[in-house]
Amino acid sequence: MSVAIDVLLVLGTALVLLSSLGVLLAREPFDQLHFLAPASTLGAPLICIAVMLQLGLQRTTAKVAVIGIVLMLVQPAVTAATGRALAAGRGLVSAEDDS
Amino acid sequence: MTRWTVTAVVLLVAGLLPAIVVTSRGRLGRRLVGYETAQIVAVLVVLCLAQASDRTSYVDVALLLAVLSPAAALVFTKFFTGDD
Repeated sequence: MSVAIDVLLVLGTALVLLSSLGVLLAREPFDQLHFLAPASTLGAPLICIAVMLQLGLQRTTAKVAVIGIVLMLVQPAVTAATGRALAAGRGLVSAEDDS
Repeated sequence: MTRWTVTAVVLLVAGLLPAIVVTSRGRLGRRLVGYETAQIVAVLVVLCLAQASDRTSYVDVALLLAVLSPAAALVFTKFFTGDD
């Protein structure tokens, strides 16, 4: 179990760090947005699973699961909203256009 | 140092610091994306620190941050008008 936790932690942390560095190095905001996905949909859930394995079956484990699920499901929506706001700011789409 | 402390420190230095740098300089669009990156990393740092300190009640802080920070980011995107 300890090895599994270590592997999950290393993988998750590496993904988050790569995303963070990608955001730092990318020049355009649209390019930066692509680097948010690995951190939120893969890196964060892997770290949450590692924490859950460490905790075992208890009430806090459910809270950690909620954190992982929220990050995995909500962050892509935030990324999409950000991309749309950036596009509207550059006049690529209309700010009132909901389609 | 436990594995959780090491992970929290690594995430703080190599994950949160670049995100804060992006958030604190440059054009608005870049700052906004940097802010969203910092949010994700901050949740994970708090989670790892909760494990490192062995106080499970601290997980509540990470949970609140994970739930409220996307709402904050959506407010920023709502009022984002341009890249300058």
